[in-house]
Amino acid sequence: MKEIILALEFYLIVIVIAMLVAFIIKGMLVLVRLFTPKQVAGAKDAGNKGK
Amino acid sequence: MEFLATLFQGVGTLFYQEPKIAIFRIVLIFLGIVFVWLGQRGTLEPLIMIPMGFGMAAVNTGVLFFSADKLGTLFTDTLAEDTESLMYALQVEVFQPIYTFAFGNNLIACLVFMGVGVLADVGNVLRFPFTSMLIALFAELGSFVTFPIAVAMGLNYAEAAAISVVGGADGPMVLFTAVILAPEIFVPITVIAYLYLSLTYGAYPFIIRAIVPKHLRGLVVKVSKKSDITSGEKIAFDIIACTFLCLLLPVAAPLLLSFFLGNAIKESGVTKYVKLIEDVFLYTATFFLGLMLGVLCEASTLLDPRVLIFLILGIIALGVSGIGGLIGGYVVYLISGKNFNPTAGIAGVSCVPTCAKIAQHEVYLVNKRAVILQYAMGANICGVIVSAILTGLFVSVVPILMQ
Repeated sequence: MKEIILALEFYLIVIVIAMLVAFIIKGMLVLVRLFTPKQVAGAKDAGNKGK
Repeated sequence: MEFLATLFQGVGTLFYQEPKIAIFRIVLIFLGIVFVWLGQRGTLEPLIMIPMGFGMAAVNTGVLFFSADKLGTLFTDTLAEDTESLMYALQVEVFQPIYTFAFGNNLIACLVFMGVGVLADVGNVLRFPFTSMLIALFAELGSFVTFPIAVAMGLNYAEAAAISVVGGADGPMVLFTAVILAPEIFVPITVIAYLYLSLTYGAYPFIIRAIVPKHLRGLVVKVSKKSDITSGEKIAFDIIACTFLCLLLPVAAPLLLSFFLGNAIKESGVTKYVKLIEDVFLYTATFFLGLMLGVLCEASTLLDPRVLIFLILGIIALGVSGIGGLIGGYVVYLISGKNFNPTAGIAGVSCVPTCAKIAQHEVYLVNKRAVILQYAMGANICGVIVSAILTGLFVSVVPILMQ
């Protein structure tokens, strides 16, 4: 019984850390996109053609 | 007779050992040959099994007399611990330098992990972080179920944790945990782990077919919009996830660093490094991993009554993890309003990229238009992350629990 509770505790800790990682991924993605200037679609091609 | 035994020591030593060890040596020689054959046929993973089979056959045939009452081989001496015996072993045993400087300190596991990082695409993790992580958590179920069963079967916490990690289906993780927590039994545990990992390719399709009905296996997932993940975003993820996880789990830091560094190098487009890690590091490490595992399979090392327990626990761990992953797939299927193929759940078991390929293959057999590889790869990479978290936790906490 003691080991089952221990295993459940381990599982709970792993769930918390894994979900924290998922939140960090999501948050990081939002932040990176917020501070990255958006490139206008096809702008590079248009520039090349202009040359 | 004594002259013949001295002349042909490989055969002669069979008559000077305990009968059970001699018989087991012969069994292991044949097993090594079978591994090479199955590896060559593709039934077992050839990259590991061919060198391992050769090593296993050679180490059990090449036993010789060191003195009148001492037998041994010229491959490795895993018992050499003090400086004098270690220096002697380094001079005499051919593979001792690899064992001491790359195997025992987990350098090989780290190099394999760096290679896995180069092969992995974290873009799918960034696209579906919660879905992927949820599936990976379910697919780690085998490890948590195995731990109390292992303790109930008489193993101590360290041994139970080492064999439980097999549920994560990640060879380097098993090696890492076993070497740190249970060095005296890391050989049988790692051998069993790699043997079972080779068999997942054959066994998991049957679990998928048994649990996921045909109409769900062929389900086409409707994608609302596909967001492109840039290399910069992937590198940002690598460095942040690496820093965060190393902060939480310093014991697993070398493995985490290896994986995320490998991935960041791939994303940064340094092709010379990518080639170096993929073509040289990964294959060299895998080759020597297989060879060392084989060389370590001496009859006297494996003739441990606990090996049978490890065999049973290994099957439980991998089987439950596979089933757990599919349950995770069903959970996501229900949460997403039935717009998810539950077959992708098996990929949460972190055998990169085998499990993702198995999932896609099973779907393809039912419906050639259904593509789930992006979901499967996301779950697969998260499986690696969850396995690393569990490994770090076990390695940090179990020694404290045993005090």
